[in-house]
Amino acid sequence: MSPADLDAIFITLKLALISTAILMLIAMPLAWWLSQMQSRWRPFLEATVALPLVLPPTVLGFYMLVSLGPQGVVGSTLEALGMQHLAFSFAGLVIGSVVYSLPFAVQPLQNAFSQVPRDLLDAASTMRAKPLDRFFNLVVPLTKHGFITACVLSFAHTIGEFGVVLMIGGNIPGETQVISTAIYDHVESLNYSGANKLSLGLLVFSLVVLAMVYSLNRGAGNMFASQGRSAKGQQE
Amino acid sequence: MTTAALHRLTLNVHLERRGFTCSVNTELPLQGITSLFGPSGCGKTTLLRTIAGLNEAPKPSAKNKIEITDTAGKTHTWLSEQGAFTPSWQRQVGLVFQKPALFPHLTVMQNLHYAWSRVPKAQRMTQLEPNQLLQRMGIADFAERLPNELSGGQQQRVALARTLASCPQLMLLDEPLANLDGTAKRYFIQLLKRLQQDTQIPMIYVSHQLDEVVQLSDRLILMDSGKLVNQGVIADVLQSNEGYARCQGENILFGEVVQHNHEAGLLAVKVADTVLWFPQPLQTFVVGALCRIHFQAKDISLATELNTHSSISNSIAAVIEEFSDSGHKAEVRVKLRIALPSLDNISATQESNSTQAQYVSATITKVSKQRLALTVGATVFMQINAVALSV
Repeated sequence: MSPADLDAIFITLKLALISTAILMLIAMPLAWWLSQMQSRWRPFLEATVALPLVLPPTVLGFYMLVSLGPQGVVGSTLEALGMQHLAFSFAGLVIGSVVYSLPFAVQPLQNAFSQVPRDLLDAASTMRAKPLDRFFNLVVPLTKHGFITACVLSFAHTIGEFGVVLMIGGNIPGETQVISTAIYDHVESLNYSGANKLSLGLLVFSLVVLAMVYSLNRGAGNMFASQGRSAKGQQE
Repeated sequence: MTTAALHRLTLNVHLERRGFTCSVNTELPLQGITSLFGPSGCGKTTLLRTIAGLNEAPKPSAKNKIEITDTAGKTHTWLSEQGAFTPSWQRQVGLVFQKPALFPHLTVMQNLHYAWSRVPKAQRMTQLEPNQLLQRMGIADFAERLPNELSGGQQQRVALARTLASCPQLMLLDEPLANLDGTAKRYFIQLLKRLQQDTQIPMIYVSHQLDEVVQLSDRLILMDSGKLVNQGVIADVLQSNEGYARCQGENILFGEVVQHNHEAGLLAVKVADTVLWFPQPLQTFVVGALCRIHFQAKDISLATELNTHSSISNSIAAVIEEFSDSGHKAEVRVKLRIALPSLDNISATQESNSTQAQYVSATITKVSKQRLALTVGATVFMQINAVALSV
């Protein structure tokens, strides 16, 4: 494996870690808000969050590049403040990854949150638990599986992204080149064995991650089963 | 208890939701157990959740006001006309749900501690400390178990214990017995009454089961279609026209347990100056204790003279107060006043219940009324067929 490949692996892992951390911070309140929302705007907001699932990554990458670049809203504002624009930079990559993987963090969390029975929250509320207390001491422990799924999926998805990274990052070795774009480079230069090493690695990694998520989800549904069959049939 | 106990709840609530209107304007004295009784879907649960502060705050309106007055006379506003809203976690109100709603990831003890640990030190009642509660509610053996390892009856007991461990000033119970069978139900009812008497925490109990209501309540609120029909001391409400019509002519008589006859398996209860004998119930009664006898209007037969040639051995003298419509064209409702004991029999220390005039309603056919030539003011002998006794 070439030093450039090792660089790409390191940058990929760094990108995935940072993006996942940021994603969890954003997705936690967003998913809670969506799961508790009664408003008729909810489908619209859910669609917005889910957009990266269906949009070609190039479309997302293109708009990100335009807005983060020197002429874009974000880029020009940053430059006016004496900072640098974000096109073709690692920071730009992080922003792109966060947007691109948002549904992978929000949806498992929202799913888990909406399964927490209303009665439990109401009970806690009458026991003097304020909203934040309820969230961290009741909702979070009850939805652990949702958090794990969200983390694993966002991490894995960031590692596997290509289009957005290529558009925003520009595939600069040692700076913004990640595994997927490195593979692309190898193929372009007909270095099939180099491409194969990285590809195989990603393949095995992805398989392991998905197997983990599925086995986690199998055990997760049981948490609230006892609530439903509370009394009927099994008396003392 | 360091905080003053609550004694009055002012409820002005007007809620509209998908064609259903719940409109209640009343002042409730908070003493003992108050039952909120009415058919399913009449707005009982909505009202209860509004008292708990679990429904969204309504828009500011002159129709909406909830205030609670403690025994020191201090008033706390939970909902004002201007829209000021006290959230449920500041109301110190405990709620027991139809389903136990225990936290599934915590053991029984941890569930209780969730409540207890959030009570400020100054408001803690030592008798509601989790270990003590588990002991007296018969669930100490399950302290380390998870909720889904318990039966429905046990889960509901834990839920009651957890609510008590939050040292509430007012307890709300939303059909907590709905999913329990006969034995678990009886046990729960006795437990609830005893806990109420020991802790003196006022309770509002929602139910559409008449048998629970007559066993438990000190006061009764009748509700129908989102409106309050009548409220007051249970015996008075049952004898009102609305009470008679909505509670299938249910009667309550208060008496004093005077004697056990274990050989014959009988229990003697004194009502006014008459001693009645009943088969000993499953529950134990202490001599000298106040007990309630409940029976339906159709289970009473009337005789103009004391009849010893009857299989029904319990007979009480009563005076006919009035006749009224029974809701069936062949029948008539007879309101009877139990003759008061002669004055020298009343000791000064006796409970007021047994010395006050008590009323019951009997449903008899119009034909019988004519045959016996019953008139208002006449004294009759009332024989009670089927009864239930409770503490």
